[in-house]
Amino acid sequence: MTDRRGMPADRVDISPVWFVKGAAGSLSLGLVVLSLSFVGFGAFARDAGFPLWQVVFMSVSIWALPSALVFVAALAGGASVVAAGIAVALSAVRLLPMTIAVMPLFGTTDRIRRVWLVIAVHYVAVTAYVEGFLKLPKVPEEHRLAYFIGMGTGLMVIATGFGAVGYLISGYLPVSIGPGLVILSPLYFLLSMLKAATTLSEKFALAAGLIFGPIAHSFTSEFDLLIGGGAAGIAGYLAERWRRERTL
Amino acid sequence: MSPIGEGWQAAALIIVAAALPTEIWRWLGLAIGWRINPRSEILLFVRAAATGIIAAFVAHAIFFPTGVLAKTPIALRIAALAGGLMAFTAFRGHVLIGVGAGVAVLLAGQVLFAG
Repeated sequence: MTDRRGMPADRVDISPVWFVKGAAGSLSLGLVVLSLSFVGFGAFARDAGFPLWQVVFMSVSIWALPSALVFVAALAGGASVVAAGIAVALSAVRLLPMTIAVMPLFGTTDRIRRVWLVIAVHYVAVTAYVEGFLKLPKVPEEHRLAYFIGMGTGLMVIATGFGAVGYLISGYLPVSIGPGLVILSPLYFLLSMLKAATTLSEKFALAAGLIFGPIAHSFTSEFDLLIGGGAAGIAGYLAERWRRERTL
Repeated sequence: MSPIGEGWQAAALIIVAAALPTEIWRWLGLAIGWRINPRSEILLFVRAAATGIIAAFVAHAIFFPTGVLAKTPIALRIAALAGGLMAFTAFRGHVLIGVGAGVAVLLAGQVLFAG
């Protein structure tokens, strides 16, 4: 696809109409689950001593809850800023395959100003990834980037707002937020990915990841998601190859 | 007192030690994704890997939870996941119903075990 570079220089901005449609599309089960997680993050960051503006700034600038949690937890635990930064970088590697995988979904972006792509990838995180896979295929190709940016903006504004709410009510939160709330996000991620999985490789990787993740965890607690998930990806890919060779 | 201080220094620290170490992977993904043929074999693997990582996260949350979820029996957590999957399948891929069923199984189990 190197010929994309040879496209016309007079590129356009994204469509405001589809940006708004995307923002409306952010109102989803994924947003509910994400917002509840942000309530927890806001309360956690307050306990760790961060002021409200820093919690909001972290939410918007990092925009990946695991990274933000790792950062806050590391600093609260007395780690140096350098150590915290390294821990964040390690936990965020998973965004690399997600970003690569989501890009073909953006459809035709040849005529759109490059800066919009840079903005779009900032929104890549598990929720936007999952919702993107569910929704983007139904959006006309030339408007998918606008839709995704609108959706990401909607998710960010509302979830960050709930982060602030969590911060403000942290003293009044019940000591234990119910386990029913905590199990929401694994359930949501599993079922949404199952719905979004179209190829055998993805379905196989989903099942294998459930098994390989805990196995990897038994010998590394830092890289278990990457190693277990990566191995599941290889297994899924091989399963697809195997099926193809059998049907040929 | 914030662990990273106040004012613009704190904002700079968040950018350098948290936002950039996260964003760098997205930029790298953009640079690589830009050059990849949407129909290529490597993309098939990358998509599977991204999916596998999410599955590993799900398993991690069920088998090795932290916080309040850790106080529930593991059999109950697995039952909640299975219940969610079954409802999802029975209702032909309805995510909301599946998630609701999973939460319901967990809450019902808690009431039963506590009583």
